[in-house]
Amino acid sequence: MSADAAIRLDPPPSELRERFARLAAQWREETDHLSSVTPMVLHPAYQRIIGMGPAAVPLILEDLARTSDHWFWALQAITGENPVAPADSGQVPRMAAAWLAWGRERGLL
Amino acid sequence: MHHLVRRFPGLASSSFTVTSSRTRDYNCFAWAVYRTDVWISPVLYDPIQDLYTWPAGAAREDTLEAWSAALAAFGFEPCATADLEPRFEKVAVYASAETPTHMARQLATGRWTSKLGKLEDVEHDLHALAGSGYGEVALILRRPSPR
Repeated sequence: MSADAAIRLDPPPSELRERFARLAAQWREETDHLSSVTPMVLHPAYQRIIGMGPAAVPLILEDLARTSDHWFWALQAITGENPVAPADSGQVPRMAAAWLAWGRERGLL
Repeated sequence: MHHLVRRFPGLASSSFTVTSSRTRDYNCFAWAVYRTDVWISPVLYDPIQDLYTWPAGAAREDTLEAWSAALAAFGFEPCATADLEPRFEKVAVYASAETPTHMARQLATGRWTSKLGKLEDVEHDLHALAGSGYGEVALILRRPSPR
C-alpha cells in the first residue's frame, strides 16, 4: 500500500465532517436521478461513507434531519439496527422520523 | 441550461414540462401507479429488513423479469406498442444493459409523465429520456384504464 493510499484512523472531527460533506455531495450529484435503491446505495461515495463507520452516524443523522434523504441503508449497515416499523417501509418521512427519534434517544442529535 | 437537460440531453430536442417540485418521498415506480407517498424499489441486499416497498411475489432485484412481475401486481401486462389505445393505460420501462432504470406512465394525450429519481416530475416525449442515464425503452405494459 502506498503512503497516499494508507488508511488513516480517527481523523479529527472537522476533517471527518468535510469528508462526509464532500462524499454526500458527490453521491447526490451522481445519483439524484436514480429511482432504484440498489445502484443508489452501491455508489462508491455512499459506500465510503458507510466505511467511515460509527463516527459517521451523527453526521448522517444531521443530514437526514435536514434533507430526509435516503440514508436508511447506510444507517442499518453501520449500526446493525433498524427502528423503522415494517409497515412504514418505503415511506420516507416516517422512516426518517424513526431514525431521528432513534438518534435523539442516544444523544446523537 | 436547465438542470434536467444537463442530465437528460434528449429533453433539449423536444418539449417538456416540469410538473412538480423535487421530492425524495416517491419514485418513478410509485408515480406510475399513482402513489406519491412511497418509494417502490427492490434492494439487492438489506442489512436487516426490507427497507423499501416491493410487491410480494416479485423477485427483489433489478431485472426486467422482476419489474414485469412487480407491475403485474398492479394489473399490467406486456403489450406490443407504445401507441395510445382507448381504455388502456400504459407504462414504459427503460433499461440499460438489460437492467431496469426508470418507468414512465402514458397520459391521455399520448405524452408521458415521469418522476425522475429524487428530482422533479416531468411531462415528456417517450424517448426524450433515453440515453446514458436511463438507457432505452425496453418494455411497454398496459392495463385497463382505471379512470
